[in-house]
Amino acid sequence: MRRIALAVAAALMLSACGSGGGSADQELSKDPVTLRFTWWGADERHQRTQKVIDLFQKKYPNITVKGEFKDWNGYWESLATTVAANDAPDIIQMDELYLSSYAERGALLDLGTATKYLKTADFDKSALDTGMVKGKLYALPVGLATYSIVANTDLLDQYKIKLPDDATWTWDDFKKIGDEVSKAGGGKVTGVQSFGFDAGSMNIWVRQHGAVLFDEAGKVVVPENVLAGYWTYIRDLAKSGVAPAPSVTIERANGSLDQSGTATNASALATWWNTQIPSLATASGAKLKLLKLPGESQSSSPGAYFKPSMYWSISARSEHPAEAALLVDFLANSKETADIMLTDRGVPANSKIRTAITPKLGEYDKAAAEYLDTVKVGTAPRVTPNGASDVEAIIKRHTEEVLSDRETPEQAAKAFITELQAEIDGA
Amino acid sequence: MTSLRKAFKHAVLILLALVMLYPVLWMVVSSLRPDNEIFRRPGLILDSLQTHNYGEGWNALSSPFGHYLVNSAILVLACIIGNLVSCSMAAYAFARLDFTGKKPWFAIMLGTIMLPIHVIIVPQYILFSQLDWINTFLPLVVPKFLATDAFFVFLMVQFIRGLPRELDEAARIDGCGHARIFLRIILPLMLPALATTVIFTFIWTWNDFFSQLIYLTDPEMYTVPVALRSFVDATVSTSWGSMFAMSVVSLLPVFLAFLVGQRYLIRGIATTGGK
Repeated sequence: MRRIALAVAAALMLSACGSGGGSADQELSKDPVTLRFTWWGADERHQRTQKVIDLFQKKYPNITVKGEFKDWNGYWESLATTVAANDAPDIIQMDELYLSSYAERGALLDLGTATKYLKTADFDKSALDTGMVKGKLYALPVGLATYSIVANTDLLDQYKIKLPDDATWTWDDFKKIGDEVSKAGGGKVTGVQSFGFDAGSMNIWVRQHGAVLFDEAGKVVVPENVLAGYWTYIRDLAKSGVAPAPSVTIERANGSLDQSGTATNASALATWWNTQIPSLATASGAKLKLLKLPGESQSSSPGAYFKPSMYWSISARSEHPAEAALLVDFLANSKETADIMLTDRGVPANSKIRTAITPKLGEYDKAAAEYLDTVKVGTAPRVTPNGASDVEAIIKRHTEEVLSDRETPEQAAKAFITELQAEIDGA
Repeated sequence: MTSLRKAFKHAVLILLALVMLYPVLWMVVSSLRPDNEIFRRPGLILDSLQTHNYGEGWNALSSPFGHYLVNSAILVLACIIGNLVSCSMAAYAFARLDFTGKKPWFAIMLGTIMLPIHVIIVPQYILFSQLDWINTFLPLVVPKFLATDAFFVFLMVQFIRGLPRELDEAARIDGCGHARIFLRIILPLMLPALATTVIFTFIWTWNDFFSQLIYLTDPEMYTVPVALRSFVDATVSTSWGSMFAMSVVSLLPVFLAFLVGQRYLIRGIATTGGK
């Protein structure tokens, strides 16, 4: 159903685009200005963001900021509709999956034109690069995350299993430790919570095998045999009892973070973005630890990479781009904002801000921030091409097919590449 | 023998009802649990009674939850009035008047039931945004006053067709025009159909998420379903307890409406041939 909305939106967007809004380096208005600012999240984020908005309004009394918050799914439906109808909010919280589809259709402002009010000096170049589409900065990364293994040390201690040396471990070690836990857990606890439901795990696997998912032109270039290996590994985990039975795995993958094996203390090892550990720790109540990914030391270049948790973007048709840039600057560079938001939107990508808030963080937030500094990362993969926003849905469907034995890993690999390429060609 | 069979039948029915109700029961129980226990201990047994979720949920968003309940109530009331007035008149026209193109028009009206909202939402949004109606209840209410809910028009047409034409003719001989036939004869007789319309409009509008999400952008204007969804986010942990507590609160009006209206609902559906 969402696809329909997107398709209609896309069709209209193409016809509606053409003229741009005002210029982002004009003088700030002295008259009252109203900005619309939209984001997704849960109630905690809504409250914190509202506090930041209040601060901003106190500082600039002639600017009124109207926050519009939604949940993830509703957010993209609503954004597609408003952008198509030429009524987009001024400041848009953006995700990597959708960045190029909005940027390439001309819906976002080139932030390079807004440097008068929006400073980006405290961001690493590698971080800024993640917001580039066709050489222009359309989105400013808010927070950074990197893929990791979350281990439940309480469970491992309980079964007297030693924590592996994560500097050198391999995917075989990962499976072996998982197997020990599953045997000790007696059916109630499994060693590993299966991955195969997000783009992160696939990117890591592919990169460790020296390949990439998309080339610079946005074509799917991953070799079939690498993908087949990915799905074979996932199938082996389930078949050997290291991961739960396929039905359980699929059910958990369709649930929320609080329903996962890590959060319910039903799996000892699982793949997560490092920034999710505070939420997981709260949900599980057990002691958790971030480990480096298996296979990193055997691979010639690191599979790990920085993924922006989200971005700030400005609508290309905003009537007040200068004021919008001012707000984004306040969100990204001010210490007042950072003190309120802390790591709610991810460990800050702004390195100065990151250092400033680290001492204020709780145990697990601090662990997430420190993990970012210790892990060795390679260059970020290309931004998900226009049309490939559904890549996670496609991965998930094939993982489910493979787990239920309706497809071999080889068939899944072949079908995945064909389908994804067709989505990109169709956009 | 028969009483034994009856008891058995009832036992089976009660069991099935419990299975169907399980999710609702689980939600009520979960709303009385601390957040972090909700998924760690599924099951219906509570070991402690925690009501703090209700207090927290009520105040978790930018306005107290009562604000969203009031918004929903205003919206629902306006939609009910709109549907009652406009659909009954449209139905009278289709059932009793003769005009050119009646059959094709009727077919087109029925056809609109089949249009998914995703197909019409963008043109509709552009229209309403040019009228400057975004972020008001107007895009959600005004269409109801134009008889756009074809389902109810159809329901009432079927009902009116079931009323004997002799009643109209008798009224006509006594000197009534269409307005008076409609108000004095037809409307009082179609009470069950009107009641069905009220209840369904209530439940559907109360639970409608998508159009309210699209048209109401300011948190001050949010209705219950939109507010409830802003508790949930798949990527971070969610205050499930608060959300379940507020879900229970927002279920109450629907539950009461159904309890009161159930008799009419069944009669309305049984007599309109919408079986």
